[in-house]
Amino acid sequence: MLDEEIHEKVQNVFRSVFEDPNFLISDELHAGMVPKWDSLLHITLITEVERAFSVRFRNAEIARLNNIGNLKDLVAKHLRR
Amino acid sequence: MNVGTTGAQQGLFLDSWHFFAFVALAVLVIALTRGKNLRTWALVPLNLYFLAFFIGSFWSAIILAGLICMTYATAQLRLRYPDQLPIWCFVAFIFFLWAFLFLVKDPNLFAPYNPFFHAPVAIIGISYLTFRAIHYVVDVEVIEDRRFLPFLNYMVFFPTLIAGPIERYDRYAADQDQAQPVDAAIAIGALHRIANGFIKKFVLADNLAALGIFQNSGYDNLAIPLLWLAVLIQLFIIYLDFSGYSDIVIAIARLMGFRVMENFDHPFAATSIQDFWNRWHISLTSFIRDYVFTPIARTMLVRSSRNWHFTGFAVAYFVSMLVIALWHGTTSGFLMFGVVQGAALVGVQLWRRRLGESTHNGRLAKALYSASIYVFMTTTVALWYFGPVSTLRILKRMVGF
Repeated sequence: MLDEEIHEKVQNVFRSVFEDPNFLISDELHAGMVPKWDSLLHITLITEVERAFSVRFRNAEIARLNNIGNLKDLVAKHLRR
Repeated sequence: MNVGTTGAQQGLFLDSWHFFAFVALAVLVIALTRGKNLRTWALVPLNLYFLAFFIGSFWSAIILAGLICMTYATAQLRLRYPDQLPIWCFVAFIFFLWAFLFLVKDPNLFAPYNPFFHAPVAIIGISYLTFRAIHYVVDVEVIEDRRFLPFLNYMVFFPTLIAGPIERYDRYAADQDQAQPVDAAIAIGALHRIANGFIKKFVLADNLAALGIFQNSGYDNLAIPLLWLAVLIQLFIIYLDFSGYSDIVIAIARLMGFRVMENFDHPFAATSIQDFWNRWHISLTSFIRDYVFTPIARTMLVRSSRNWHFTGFAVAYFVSMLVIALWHGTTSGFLMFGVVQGAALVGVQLWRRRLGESTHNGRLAKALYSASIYVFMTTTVALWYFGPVSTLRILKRMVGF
């Protein structure tokens, strides 16, 4: 899958979870920058991203995510397996 | 104090000349050591020397060595036989570590069946060691450096040994291999922070403690304004004590070229209970988030329909807060503290769902909201020492009943 496709799909997940059709993601975006993005929403986002790409992350991998760029890299890594 | 930084009979105290001399020697040795292997080797005797002051008996030393070796062996097994050994073996080991943590911390828990009831183990910082062990076993597959000595140093790194912060392995190992540069400005900043830490912990916290509710068991005789002061000041005392300790050890580590995780981020500026916990004892709360909350919440989310998601989250919040509370102590007071905090976190989420994001943007409204969080935290802290019945009596006395 191309990086652009991953980006698009992740963005759609964020739009649906945040219930905001115009939500834009960037690689540097992280939870500290969005007030609504708390631990509860974070798990929902991760689970929805896993569902969208039919992958399953490890807890250790999730604990290491710092921003959207990391998340996209992680998706790409799992899709290559 | 519950943070375990002082109060034990044994140990090398932060405010002793012996400790100062040892830290100066350690900083000097590490500054003069070049190359990652030499640095790793140089840290071993320093860490073990410091550790030796906190081991109460031969039995304690055996338990500690067992914990370290079993953790390393289990993690290596997980790496070597990822497909042959079923995952439940490792999950069972994690549960074993949690059980060990609670049993060793409170020898009277489940007595007389608790093995530590008959042979109590006195190792200061054992819970922090266990947290690091859990982190290592869970994360080992994504950890790059898998050698034993760096792992040993990570487990018993002396600045963070007694009460954290609970570091994550990758960051520790990176700084162990390649020290962060320490120039004059950084050294002066670190020394400044150490001095501030000492003032917070040993001057402010220790002296204010005389006013705090924990030191005033005869609270029935206090005048109402004094009772308010005693209760409201207690959380502040705990903050000064623990964040002062954290300042000291983080700055010592920085002088040695290690960037240790921060433990406090202006907790009294929190805008919600949830935000408070993101700013208070961060290394513990983020550990609980990653190794208790997230696994439970994910399991619930994946295996249930959308309607049950919120219930799953609520369970995860309650379990997380109960683990934090009961880790501090297995009394009814701590149990109630966990329940009340869990209920508050779930309540905040329900509130947000019903009413959307908070709309109080005025300065006064914000100040009042922050104050209410402070009052909530500080009155629930009374549960730790006084338990539910006496805490209720204190609260009643505060409002004049």
